[in-house]
Amino acid sequence: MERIVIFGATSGIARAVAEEFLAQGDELLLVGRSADALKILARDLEVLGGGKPVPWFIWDVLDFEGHAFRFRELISTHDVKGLFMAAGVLIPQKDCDADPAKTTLTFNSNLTGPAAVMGLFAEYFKEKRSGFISCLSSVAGDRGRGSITAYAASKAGLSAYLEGLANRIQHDGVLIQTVKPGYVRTAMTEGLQSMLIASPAKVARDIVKAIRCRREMIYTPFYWRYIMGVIRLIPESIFRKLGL
Amino acid sequence: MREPYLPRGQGRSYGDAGLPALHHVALNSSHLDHFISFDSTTGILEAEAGVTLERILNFCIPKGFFLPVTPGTKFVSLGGALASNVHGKNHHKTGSIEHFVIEMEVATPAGTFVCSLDQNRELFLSTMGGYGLTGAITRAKLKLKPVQNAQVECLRVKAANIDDMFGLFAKHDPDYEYSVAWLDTLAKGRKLGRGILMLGNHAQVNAGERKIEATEVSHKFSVSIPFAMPDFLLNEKFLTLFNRAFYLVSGNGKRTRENFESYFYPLDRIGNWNLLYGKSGFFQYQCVIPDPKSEEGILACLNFLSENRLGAFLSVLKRCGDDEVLLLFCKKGYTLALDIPFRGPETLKSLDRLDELVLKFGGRVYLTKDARLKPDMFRAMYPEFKEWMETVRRFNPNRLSSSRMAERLELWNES
Ligand SMILES: Cc1cc2nc3c(=O)[nH]c(=O)nc-3n(C[C@H](O)[C@H](O)[C@H](O)COP(=O)(O)OP(=O)(O)OC[C@H]3O[C@@H](n4cnc5c(N)ncnc54)[C@H](O)[C@@H]3O)c2cc1C
Ligand SMILES: NC(=O)c1ccc[n+]([C@@H]2O[C@H](COP(=O)([O-])OP(=O)(O)OC[C@H]3O[C@@H](n4cnc5c(N)ncnc54)[C@H](OP(=O)(O)O)[C@@H]3O)[C@@H](O)[C@H]2O)c1
Repeated sequence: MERIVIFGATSGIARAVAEEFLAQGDELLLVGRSADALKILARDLEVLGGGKPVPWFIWDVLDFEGHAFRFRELISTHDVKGLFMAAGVLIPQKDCDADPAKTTLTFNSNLTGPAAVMGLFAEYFKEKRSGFISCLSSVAGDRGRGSITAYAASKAGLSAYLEGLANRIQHDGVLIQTVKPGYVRTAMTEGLQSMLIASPAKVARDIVKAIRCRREMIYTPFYWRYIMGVIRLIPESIFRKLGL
Repeated sequence: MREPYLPRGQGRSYGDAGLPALHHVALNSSHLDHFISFDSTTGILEAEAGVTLERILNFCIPKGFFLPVTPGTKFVSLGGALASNVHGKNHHKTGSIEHFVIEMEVATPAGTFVCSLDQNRELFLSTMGGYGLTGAITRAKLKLKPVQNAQVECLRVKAANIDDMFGLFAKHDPDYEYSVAWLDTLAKGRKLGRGILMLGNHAQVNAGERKIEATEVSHKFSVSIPFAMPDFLLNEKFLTLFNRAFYLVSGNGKRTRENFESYFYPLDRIGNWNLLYGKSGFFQYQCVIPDPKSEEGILACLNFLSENRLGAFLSVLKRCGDDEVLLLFCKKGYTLALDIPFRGPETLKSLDRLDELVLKFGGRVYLTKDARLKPDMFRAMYPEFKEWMETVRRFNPNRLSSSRMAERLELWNES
C-alpha cells in the first residue's frame, strides 16, 4: 500500500494535515526527529483511523551526511506516493543577530535541509512518473522582512527552490506544490494575537483539497493572496517605514 | 525542586479555581491532547488530559458514541472536566462524570500514580472534583455511551410559576434522560419562578434511516460578540423585558428534533458570549439545595433574587442525583445556576446574604464557578473538606500545586 510521508509530523500544521489525509482514507508514514513524540502521535492517529497502524521513521532534516542513506532506507521499507514537508523553525531575529549559529540553523532547517530531502524524493517520483511533494513555505518569503530577516529569506529561498523543482519535473506527472500559509495557531506562533490567525484544521483542509486539485501554489487562508498582492506592490521606500 | 504550579485546562472555569496561587505558574495541558486507545465494543476511550471534549465528540459521534456526562460547553479539557467532577443535564439519572472514569493517571508532587475506585482509591476520590490540588491529571480512561444518532428529541414545557415547575420536573424526569429548566428570575409574585423545562432523549433511528446521521460538527461560531456590550443593556428594565419576551415566545409542549450542538452547547455558538455582560462582567453563582428541603430552599432563593433584583439572562434549575467523591458538589435535590451582573460592592454583599440562605437549607456553592465565597462559609457548607484536605496534603505536602481559590478559602490553614 502506498503511503504519504509526513515530514516534520509533530508540527501543528502537519498533524492537522495528517488527520485530513487519514479522513480521506490515505495511509501515512510519520517522519520526525523525536521517537517519543512520534510514538504518541502515531497512536493518536491510529485511534482516529479506527485502529489502522501508523508507522513512523526517524529522520533529522539537519542530518546532511545521512540524507541519502535515510532516504534509501525509507524507500526500501515503504511504498511512497507523496511527501508533505513541514519541518522548519522560527527563531527570533534578535537571537540570530546575537548568535550567527542561529542564522545558520534557520537556513539549514528551513531551506538547505528540506531542499536536500525534497531533491531526493523529486528524482524518485520523476522516475515513477507519479507522486506529489507539498511543502510549507510562508507568506513571509514574499518580501524581504526586517523583523524576521533570516526566516523570511529562508522561506523566499524555499519558494524559489520549489518553483524550480516544479519547472524541472512538472511534465513527468509529478505535482510540486508550494503552500504559503499566513498566521496559523501552532507552537510556532504561541502567544501571537491576531485577527487573521487561522486554525491548523482550516489550513489543512485547504492544503489537502489543493493537492487533490493538483494546484502548484496556494495561499491559505485564501485572503493572504490578496494581502500579499498588495504588500508586494508597496514601494520599498514606504515598506521600510512600516517596520514589518 | 520544580517551580510551583497549577494545572490548567482550557480556562473555562468561571472563578479563581483555575488561577495559579501567588508565585505559581499555570501548567499548560493543551499540548497533552492525544488519544491513546479506543475500544469500540466497550466504548472505553483512553486519552491525554488536555484533549478537549470537542475533540472527543468529533471523534466518537461518527462511531456511535457520546459523552456519558457533559457540561454546557464542549470547549473544556478532559482534565478540567475531571478536576471539577462536572455534571450535566442527566445528573438526576447518572450522577457526575466520576461514575464513568475507569482510571486516571495523576502526576502528584509525591510521584505519579494510576488511580481508580479499586487502586489508590483515596487519590482517585480526592482528585476527581479536587480542582488540581493533588497535582496534574495526565491521562484518563473514560467510558463513552453508545448512541444511535447525533440528534436529540426535545420537549419544551412551560411552567407558570415555581410550584408548577417542581411538578413538571417530578412528572417528566423519569421519562427523560436530560432535563433542565430556564427560569425568569425577575418575575415576581404569582409568576415567581416561571420558566421553561427543556427535556431531551437521544434520538432513536427510525426504520429506513441510516444509523448515524451526518454529525455536522460545526467548524466555526455562528455569531460572535465583537466587543463588550454597553452597560445599559444590563439594566433591570431591559433584562425584565428580555426575560418576559423569552418566556412568552417559547411554545408550550413543543416537540423538536435538534442537533446535539444546539441542545447541549447553545452558548458555544456565540463566540465571546461573556462580553454580553459588558466591561464590569458578572459572577456565576451555582448552588445545590438537597432534599427534603430543596423545594423550600429554592423558593426562598428565588424570593431573595426577585426582591434584590439580582437575576439576569441565564438562570438555570435542574434536579441532581448522588455522587461519591470526597469534595462533592451535587447532592440529591435541586441546583440553581445564575449569572449575576456585577454592579459593585452591593452585589458582593447580596451574594454573601444568599450564601447564608443557601447554608440555612443545608446547601452549598459550586467551587468551579465561584470567586468570592468566604473561608468560614466554605467550611460550613463543605464539612467533609478536612478529610479531602488530608489526602491532598499527603500527595501535595508543600503546596507545590495551588490556586488562588485555595488561598482565598484558606485551604492550607490547619483548621
Ligand atoms: C458556558 C459554560 C457552561 C458550563 N456548564 C457546566 C455544567 O453544566 N456543569 C458543570 O459541572 N460545569 C460547567 N461549566 C464549568 C466547567 O465545566 C468547569 O469549570 C471545567 O472544569 C472547565 O474545564 P477547563 O478545561 O476549562 O479547566 P480550567 O478552567 O482551566 O481549570 C478548572 C480546574 O481544573 C483544574 N485542572 C485543569 N486541568 C487539570 C488537569 N489536567 N489535572 C488536574 N487539574 C486540572 C484546574 O487547576 C482548575 O482548578 C461550564 C462552564 C462554561 C464556561
Ligand atoms: N504557524 C504559522 O503561522 C506558519 C505560517 C507560515 C508557514 N509556517 C511553516 O509551516 C511549517 C510548520 O510550522 P508549524 O506552525 O506547524 O510549527 P511547529 O509546530 O513548530 O512545527 C515545526 C516542525 O518542524 C520540525 N523540525 C524542526 N527542525 C527539525 C529538524 N531538524 N528535523 C526534523 N524536523 C524538524 C519540528 O519537529 P520537532 O517537533 O521535533 O521540533 C516540528 O515538527 C514550518 O515550516 C513553518 O515555517 C508556519
